[in-house]
Amino acid sequence: MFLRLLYQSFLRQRRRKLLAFVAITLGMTVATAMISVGVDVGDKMNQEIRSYGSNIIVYPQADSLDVNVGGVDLKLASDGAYLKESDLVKIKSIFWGHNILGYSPMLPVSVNVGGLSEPVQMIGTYFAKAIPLEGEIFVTGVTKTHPWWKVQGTWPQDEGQAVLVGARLAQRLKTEAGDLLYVAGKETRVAGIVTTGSDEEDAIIAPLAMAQMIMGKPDAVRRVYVSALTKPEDDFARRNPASMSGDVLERWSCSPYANSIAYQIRGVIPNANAEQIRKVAQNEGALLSHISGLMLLVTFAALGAAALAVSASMATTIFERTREIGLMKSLGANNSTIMALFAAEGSLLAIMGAVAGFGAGSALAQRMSLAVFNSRIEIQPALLLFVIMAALIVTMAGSAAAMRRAMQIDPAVVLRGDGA
Amino acid sequence: MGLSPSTMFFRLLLRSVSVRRGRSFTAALAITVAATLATALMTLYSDIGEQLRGDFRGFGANVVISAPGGFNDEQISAVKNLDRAPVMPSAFAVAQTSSGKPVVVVGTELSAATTLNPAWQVTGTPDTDKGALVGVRAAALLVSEASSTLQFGGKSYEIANPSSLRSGGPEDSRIYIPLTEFERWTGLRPTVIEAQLPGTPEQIAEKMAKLRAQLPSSATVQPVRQIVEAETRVLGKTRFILSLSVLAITLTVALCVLATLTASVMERRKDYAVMKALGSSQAAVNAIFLGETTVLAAGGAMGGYVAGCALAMWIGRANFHATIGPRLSVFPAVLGGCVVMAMLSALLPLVRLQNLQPAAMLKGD
Repeated sequence: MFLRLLYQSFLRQRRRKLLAFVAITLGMTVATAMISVGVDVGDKMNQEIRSYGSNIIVYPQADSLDVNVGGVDLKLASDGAYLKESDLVKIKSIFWGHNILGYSPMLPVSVNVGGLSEPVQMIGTYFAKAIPLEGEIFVTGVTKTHPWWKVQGTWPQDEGQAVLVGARLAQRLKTEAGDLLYVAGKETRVAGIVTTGSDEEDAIIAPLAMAQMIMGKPDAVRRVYVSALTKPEDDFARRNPASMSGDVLERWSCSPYANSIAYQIRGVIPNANAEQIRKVAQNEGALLSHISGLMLLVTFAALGAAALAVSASMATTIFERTREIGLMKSLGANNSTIMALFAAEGSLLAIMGAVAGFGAGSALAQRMSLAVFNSRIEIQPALLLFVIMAALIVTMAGSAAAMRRAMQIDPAVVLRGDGA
Repeated sequence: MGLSPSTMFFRLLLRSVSVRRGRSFTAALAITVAATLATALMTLYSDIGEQLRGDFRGFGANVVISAPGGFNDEQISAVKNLDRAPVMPSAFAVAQTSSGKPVVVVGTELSAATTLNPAWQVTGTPDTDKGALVGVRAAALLVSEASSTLQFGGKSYEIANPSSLRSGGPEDSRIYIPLTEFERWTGLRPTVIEAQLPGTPEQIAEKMAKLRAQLPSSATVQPVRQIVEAETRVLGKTRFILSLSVLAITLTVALCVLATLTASVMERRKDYAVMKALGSSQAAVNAIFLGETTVLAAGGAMGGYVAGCALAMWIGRANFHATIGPRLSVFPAVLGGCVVMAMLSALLPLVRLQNLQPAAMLKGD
């Protein structure tokens, strides 16, 4: 009898049920989408903020000072120490290797260029070098670590002999993409003109191997810029690893702070010093925590709004059914039976609405992520459980007040028509 | 009774709101909550650029002006006067340590250097008149030297009262000394001016154009692409995602208002019928119903605006550690939105009631 009542109720009052269902679905859609996006926004923004460039620098421990004024490296090639290019792949092997988004080695060398009397700085680096790792190919270079570099023409090949010419230097040389240039006595093709907004515009950017050959130092690298996904720095992150005991050190190393990643890089590359680039590392933490905090609050607002919408529509549907309640009561149904019927109806609606809302919300979150960040997000299946629970609670809470009022009604008054 | 129609109308409105307090309260509450959320989110949205821009300022200078021939005092003060923005003129020289090793010495205004680069880790308070900021790598070199005297062009300079500086950048290899000391020692003029111009990317571009016009053509004015581009990108994405969220949330609460108000009007179909049966015209009844919801909506919107401003202020303090003031420009949108939603919610049931006979409604069918 109970099931039959339930079944009939859904069959007969399709319009009303549909209204409540739509409200629950909509509320849960917004909740699902906002939670998915809100939870993910930290990671996504972290990737976005990486467009500030690398946040860790690696240089040889025994290196002499950089003598660099206005983009011209005055340090002699014979002076100072070098890192080994062949060691660099180990950067990806540290505990937080997956957080290393890219790295670019740099090797400055002074070269003579046809048409200019004074020597010009050449910087050897990776552009988009494919590095084979276990089971995957890791593509890294300045396109990853220096995303603000803009090239007019094409990016050179890492294995090729073509170069990029800095915009200011190109102006002095009156050269364009596709031209030929005498660099260190060899005819070299200019693949493109690069604008960087800083000192590299006075230099020639070449494949690392080419700079090493000109210098006569195969495998040499002067410094490496590393771009890593890091966790905003807190007091714990600032502690000195040298003064930590075993398990504190382990906990510190297992947090992706810029400092601990730098510490791990120091560990895998012989004779290297790795440090956070404070300008970038310090600020992105603050920025990131502000944006994630904001999204968290907005997610709460969305949950509140969803709850409000669901309870409002539930209250409305019950108000509309006072006569039905009166009839049931006069036919001998007691309060608990009526409550059970309404609760069952509400739960069924809530579960259906939650499932539909979860589906729609996931799709919406996916669309939002694609539109804003140009990447997909992973929807946690556990979220479905949460959404169903939330829908049940909100639906029940929304109906509670209306139901209590419905229980108090006098069947005679309602059926006469005065109670509405 | 001698009541004029308009007095009667207002009396009806007043009575309806005061007598049926419970129901009116529920409807007004829904509107208030909706208006609160909408106000808080809209205020946040219009303020987010301002809030995050503070964070972006930490990244340092966003404009670099350079002239190979050097700047004179007039040109430096022209940049300084442009915006009262932090400005850091720098002169460079490669000096020799006592054992003949090269080190880059920068003459600058030390106080401007530290304001412009809040990320620098500086020990102690640097003496800005006579002192020096010594990068950690340069400091390590100086420690191994016999004395902390530097040589340039045959003249020597004694580093006094040094503070240490750590940046993780090329600054670590440099020694910063006060510009006046530097000029007296080397006779070189500043060749680079770094500045942090405030404002949106468009405003900054405008100011840069102004600078280009003021300075001689040998000077180049360039944005620091790394900073400017990342700022535009991060801010744009944050704005976009926030606007989508605001839209989704506002739609949800609008739906909630629609449901609540429609129900509250439908519940009163008896009143409607009684009024009509007592001889009031269709237009007058409609006006009373619409007037009622409008009053509710306006009241809810005003209450919600105040609450929303408070909420935005709280969020500003909790999340950004800054004040987010109330934005008056948000108010018309919130008020208008609430009133339009309320009218719509009232019109939908009224159109349906229009065609019903009062007698049938009163009988209860």
